Amino acid sequence: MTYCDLIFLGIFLPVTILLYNVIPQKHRAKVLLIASYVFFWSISGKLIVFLLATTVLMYIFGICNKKLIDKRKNELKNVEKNNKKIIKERYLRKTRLILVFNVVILLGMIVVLKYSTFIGNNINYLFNVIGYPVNIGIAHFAVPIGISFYTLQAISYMMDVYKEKIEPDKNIGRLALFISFFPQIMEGPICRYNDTAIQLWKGDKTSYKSLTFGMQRIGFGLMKKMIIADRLDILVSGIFSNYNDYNGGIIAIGMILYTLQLYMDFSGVMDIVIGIAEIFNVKMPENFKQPFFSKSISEFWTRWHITLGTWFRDYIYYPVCMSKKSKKMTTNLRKKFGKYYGPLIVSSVALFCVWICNGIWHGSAWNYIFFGMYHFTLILMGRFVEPISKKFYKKIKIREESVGLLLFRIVRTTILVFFGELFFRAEGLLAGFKMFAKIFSNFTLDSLFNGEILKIGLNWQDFVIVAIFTVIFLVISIRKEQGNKVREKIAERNIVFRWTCYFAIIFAVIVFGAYGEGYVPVDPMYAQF
Amino acid sequence: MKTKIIKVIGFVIVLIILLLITSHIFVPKSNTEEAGMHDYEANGILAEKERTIDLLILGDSEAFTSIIPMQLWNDYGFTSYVCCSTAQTIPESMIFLIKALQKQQPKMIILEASNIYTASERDEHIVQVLNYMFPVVEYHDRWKYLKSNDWFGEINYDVVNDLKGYHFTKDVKEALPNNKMAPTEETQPIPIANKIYIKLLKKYCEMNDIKFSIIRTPTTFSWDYKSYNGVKQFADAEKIEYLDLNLMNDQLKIDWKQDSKDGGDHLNHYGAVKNTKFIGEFVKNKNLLTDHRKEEKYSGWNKSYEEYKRLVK
Repeated sequence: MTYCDLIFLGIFLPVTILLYNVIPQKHRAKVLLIASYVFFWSISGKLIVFLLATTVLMYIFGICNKKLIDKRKNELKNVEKNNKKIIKERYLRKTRLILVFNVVILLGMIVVLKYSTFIGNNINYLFNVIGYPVNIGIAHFAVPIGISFYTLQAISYMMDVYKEKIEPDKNIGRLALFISFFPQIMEGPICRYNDTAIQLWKGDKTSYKSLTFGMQRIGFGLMKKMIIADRLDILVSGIFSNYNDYNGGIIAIGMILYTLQLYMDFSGVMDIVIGIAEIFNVKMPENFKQPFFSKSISEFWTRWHITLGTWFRDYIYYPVCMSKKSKKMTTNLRKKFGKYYGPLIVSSVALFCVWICNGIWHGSAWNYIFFGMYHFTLILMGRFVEPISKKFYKKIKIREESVGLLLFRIVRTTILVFFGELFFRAEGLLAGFKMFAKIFSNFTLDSLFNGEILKIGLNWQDFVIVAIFTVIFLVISIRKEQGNKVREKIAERNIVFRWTCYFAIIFAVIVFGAYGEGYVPVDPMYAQF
Repeated sequence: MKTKIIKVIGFVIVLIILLLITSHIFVPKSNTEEAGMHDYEANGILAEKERTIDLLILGDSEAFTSIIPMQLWNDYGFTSYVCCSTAQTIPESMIFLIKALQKQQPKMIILEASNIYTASERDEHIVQVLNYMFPVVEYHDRWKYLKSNDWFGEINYDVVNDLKGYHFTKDVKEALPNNKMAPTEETQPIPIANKIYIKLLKKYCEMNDIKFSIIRTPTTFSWDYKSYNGVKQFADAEKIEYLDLNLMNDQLKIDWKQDSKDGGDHLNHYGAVKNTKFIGEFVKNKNLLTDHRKEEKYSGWNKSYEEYKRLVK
């Protein structure tokens, strides 16, 4: 069962909404929790035990932390001012120890389940290369769907409790729902405790507005996923699996269309997820903000998979930058390299940590690590050349906010994103490099004119429908970028206009959706990460 | 609140009306492959004259390659139709039956047991119902090929399938001998959803006064004694007649060196002739079906038989 399945949208979701609304408010959160466990069971079966273990771990951590905080408070009441610092530090060490212990367990689970094969293979390979052949037995584990997402949520909860940003939750049910809420469990968004836990447990009744707005958002997401992303799957898979058979032109088209597919799939599913949450009166954080209007790679990552980016920022980038060693190093380097480049060198270390983690988080393969390093390099280069380029634009008298320069930067960023996604999707790092090389060594657009492009699973009608809906979504994105709230605008119009819009969405999905005979169902793409 | 409820009901009514209108546009106007009809051989049942089919066979490819309605017609005068499609699931079989019963009143239905172990896709049950109620869901992809006739034309299912759903091939690929039908106590469990559907099929047949049987046609591939045990236990519990022809080869005389088209999975025409002969006798002994060969109403069947003869010559 996934979010686009009829059994989910036609039975599971309506039944959950109905039950949620017919029972008293104090029990509504329990309905969501049961529904979430049923959903997780349906996608991961017995592996639900890992989700439960994570929940219990979070709960125990919170309780231990709370006890230590209370104990510390009591001790601090009765001591002199001079000793307070010593006591605080003593307790800080204890809470840190508990935090590290719990985070290691959480990461240990994910490393064993998701990365042990990758690590084992690489160790075997390394020893073979240096002439000491070994063969470490590699166990293959079934990985619970969503483990990469809910583990990050669990860690963020523990870190926030440790930093005393939030109170430890004594209600294990609320924690369980926070981490397992069924719309978010497969692909996020990666929520913080402060974002959703209280809202979820509150159990506000579905209102007419939340129902209609939620359903509109679901419809919008289904259009993206089923009309564009799922339709492109056959062509993208064909090109990436058999890249040896195609020229550089086709590979470039495959690379561009994969980026479009991934965006439409992931952001489409996010629309569905956020729409479902909206029905239950839960406001989830947005994960996309018109990423293809970004003027730099740095900006791109503040608009694409936003909750992952902010997670890495808050729990890796800032802690590394703000550590005592970093601060000391910044002071020293500032003297040597100046106010801009001094801190930049230190933040580069933090940036490296973020992007190596980002790459590894996406999957246990070298092409993901390369994907992380690719973006690290681009962002770092961007930061280093920023003062130079500013001077350059000033010298040649080009205003930074001029339309021409903005367009150039948007196109440049988009092209860089395309190449990153090429390595991300490639079936191995070597394949990625071969495809990359082919784009430059064997580039031709002949296949567009000799019909070769129409032999990879899509006919001209498919391309036309992809183009039409891409333009529709582009126009909507431009309106959103300009600050227009499209749904609110529709809601203000008369019933004939509104219903026409709703029926247009429903029938666009029914008629132009890539499902049924001749299509293979495509599961949400980010669920595999 | 009242206005909002009226709005919701109104919205659903308009949605249903629009689904019916678009269904009329998208559904193929003829029951041919060229017109875009899915499973056009099986859907050929829709072109048969009203109340002329006495025996209906449901199942997947194992059934449409092993039962020859024209042979049953020639040998016994029984009218039968093989309403089977590739990888047909039990929910699909159910929909085929419902569609067939709109015009036909068969006296007997045979479910070929191969698909009893086929687990349905996660959405299969809802999809089948939606496909049936609103054909736009099944035929939505025809937007690429719509012609003016699709928008305003009448639906006309009148192209008779002379083979009555049978898929003919004389390809030969020898099947290697195996020991799959060696008796064992083990049992292959049937998916729960399929059990429910078969019970529904049986109930539906009882309500319409139709004899319901399950038959497993010969194969060396996807069937073994465990599978036989599973169906046997279920059929006994549900009081459904079940015949496994894999245990009766002394009577069928299937020669696996030349009677299979693909190394034992499916029968070819030579195997199908032997299989049909056995099924013909089995059906005949029920004394349920009548010989229609001399009836004017069935003259089309003689023409179809001529076409069949020409094809298999």
